[in-house]
Amino acid sequence: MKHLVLALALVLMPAWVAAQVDIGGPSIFLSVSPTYPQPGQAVIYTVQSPLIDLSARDITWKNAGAVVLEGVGETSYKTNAPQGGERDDISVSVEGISEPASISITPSDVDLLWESQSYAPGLYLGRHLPSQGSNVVFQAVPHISKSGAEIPAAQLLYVWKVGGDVVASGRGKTSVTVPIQTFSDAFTVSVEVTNADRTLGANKRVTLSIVEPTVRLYFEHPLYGTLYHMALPPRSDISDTEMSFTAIPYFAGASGANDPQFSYIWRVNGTPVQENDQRPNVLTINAGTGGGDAQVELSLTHKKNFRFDAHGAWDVVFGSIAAHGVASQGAPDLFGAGK
Amino acid sequence: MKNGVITFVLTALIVAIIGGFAGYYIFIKHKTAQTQQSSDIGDGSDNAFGGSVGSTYQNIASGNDGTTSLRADLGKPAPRLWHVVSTPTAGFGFGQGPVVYIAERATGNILKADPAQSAIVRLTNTLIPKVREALFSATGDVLLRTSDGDGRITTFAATVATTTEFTSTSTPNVLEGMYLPNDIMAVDTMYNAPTSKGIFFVAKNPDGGSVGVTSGWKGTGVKKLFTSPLSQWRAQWLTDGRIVLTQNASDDIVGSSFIVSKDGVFSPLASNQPGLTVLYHETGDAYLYGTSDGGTLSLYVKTGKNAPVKLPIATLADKCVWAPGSALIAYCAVPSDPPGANYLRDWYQGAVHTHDLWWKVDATAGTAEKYFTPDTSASTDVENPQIDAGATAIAFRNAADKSLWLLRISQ
Repeated sequence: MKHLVLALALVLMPAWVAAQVDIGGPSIFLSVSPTYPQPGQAVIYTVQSPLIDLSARDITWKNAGAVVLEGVGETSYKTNAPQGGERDDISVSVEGISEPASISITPSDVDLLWESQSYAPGLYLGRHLPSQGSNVVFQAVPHISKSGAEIPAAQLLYVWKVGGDVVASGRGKTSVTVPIQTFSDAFTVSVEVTNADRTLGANKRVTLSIVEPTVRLYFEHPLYGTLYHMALPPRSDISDTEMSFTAIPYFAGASGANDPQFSYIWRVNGTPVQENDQRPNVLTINAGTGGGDAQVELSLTHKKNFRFDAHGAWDVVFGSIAAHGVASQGAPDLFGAGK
Repeated sequence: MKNGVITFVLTALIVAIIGGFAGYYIFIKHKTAQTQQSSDIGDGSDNAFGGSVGSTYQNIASGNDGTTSLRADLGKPAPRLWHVVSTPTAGFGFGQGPVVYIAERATGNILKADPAQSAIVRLTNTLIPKVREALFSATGDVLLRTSDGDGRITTFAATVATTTEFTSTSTPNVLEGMYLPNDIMAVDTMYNAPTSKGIFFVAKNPDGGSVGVTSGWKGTGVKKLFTSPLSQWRAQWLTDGRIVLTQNASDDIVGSSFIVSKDGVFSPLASNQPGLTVLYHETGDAYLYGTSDGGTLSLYVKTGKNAPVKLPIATLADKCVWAPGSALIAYCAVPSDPPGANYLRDWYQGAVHTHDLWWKVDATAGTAEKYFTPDTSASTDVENPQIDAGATAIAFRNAADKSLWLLRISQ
């Protein structure tokens, strides 16, 4: 029995001593999650020790010297990261441990910008969207400051990932171009930006949907050119009996509407129409003096991208009385005939 | 009997002559009444152009002749809502006075509209066909932009000689200028500093991406501000030389906007907003920004360091214009019915158009109130609204047909 007591005493003594006296050294560790919080983002600070049980200790949290949380077993402190340009100096003290642990957070952020190099006509004001066969350009715009001054983007380290795989990295690598060759409907790109010693950093991830190209049909006016402001609705009534139309394959992975890889297959009232050699995306219809109804169909394929298949169908009534004086169903009165 | 016949014939002749004169008088009076009818809406396409119109315009506009009873009255102030040009325009800009400079889409000819006289004169007759976009300085100098079927963009920078006062009998001038680099993706003028006639533009970089530069009107004194791997930008050049650079917008796609200093340093303005459109105040620390998220349009105003305030109107910043001055007043065109999903994309592709009402925004108070409701005969889908320096009128294009309208603000 005596030996048993002695043995227990030998086993338990270190824990008891640690609980009562400062054991010195790095006995507590402070961490923050996320590692690189953005301005205003919710963050959680956690204190841990590999040697002692903190659940029964009195723990005090301070920010810039002011107590923000205190209590027995308070091993974590939840708050929001400061705004951009501001800094939090968080320290934690544990009863019986002489050395507090501390960490400073200067929120960093990185804007992850992107645009697709898919086709849209010149002067198009909208964003080009990613489609199969197109490239997407990503740019990281970091906002990482040290001592109140923003670190130039060229001095930071970048790690780019597509779907979790690193595709590029290095100092000053602020952009990557990603070709879209996936079979899925979306893909994810992320970037992590840090300073040289990785004490400051930010990361961002974006998931992009891959769209199907959209074919719009426009009037090709002899004086005004392509009327990009008047996409044809499914049905149009026009007063003229002859008209040219231009098809625009928005967001196609191509160099232009007349990319040589495109095959335009036009049909009017079910009959194939010989394509225009110079501008295959342009179709001219002469409905004769009496006018009439033209069911225009377009099938657009790509010679190398077999997954590319865009369709469109429009019903155009030429010489329509309805077009006189009324923009019927959105149809334009092109020549002012109805006024 | 013979005398009776003669008397009858003479009487009939006199009655016929008098009847003819009476009929002619009634006819003319009716026509005069048509042309002088007063209204809040005017179509100035016919009278206003008078005899100084070139044949191209007459060909285009011939369908408008005489059949509309709502029109401006030449020589008198334009109606409150004036349909300045009914044919497609490439662009416009206010000059001094105020007058409005207009670029024809079909010809590239420059016109000048004077709302005080409901008059329009042709300043130039140089043919530049199929102009898609035009920007003006306050002195009427112009950037004419075209694009071909493959997306290549040209920009012609020209100076309009304005030393001579133009009248309806003046001979139009030749438009002299030079082409700027190809594929300028975004451009803005230092509009409020007409003497400098500077331009800022983002041009495609042959090595990929784009380069942002400032230059003189005809491409002189080029100063490179930045390079970017991206090229789909909208630019607004502020009076103090800073540039607001905003990514092209699409519904549900997050976009960011930056303030670019004169040294080319980017500072975030609005980040990661879906369908982001931005309009910064020229002189004040305020901006409007719109979002398109899940089929819902929202418009916010942000002043100074205050938190953004959501306004009770659903529209784009593209449809707004700030009034000059420090009062932080803006006018916004707001679709009468909320557009559906993918509105931004469809609108930019010309596949959807709206009937807009005008609202007045007080950015300081964070409020908006209905300001002007056009009747259905003047339905417009407002794009690119601009206001004159005296805040007397807003000019804008109808996105549905690219015609030009003018809304007088002050009564």
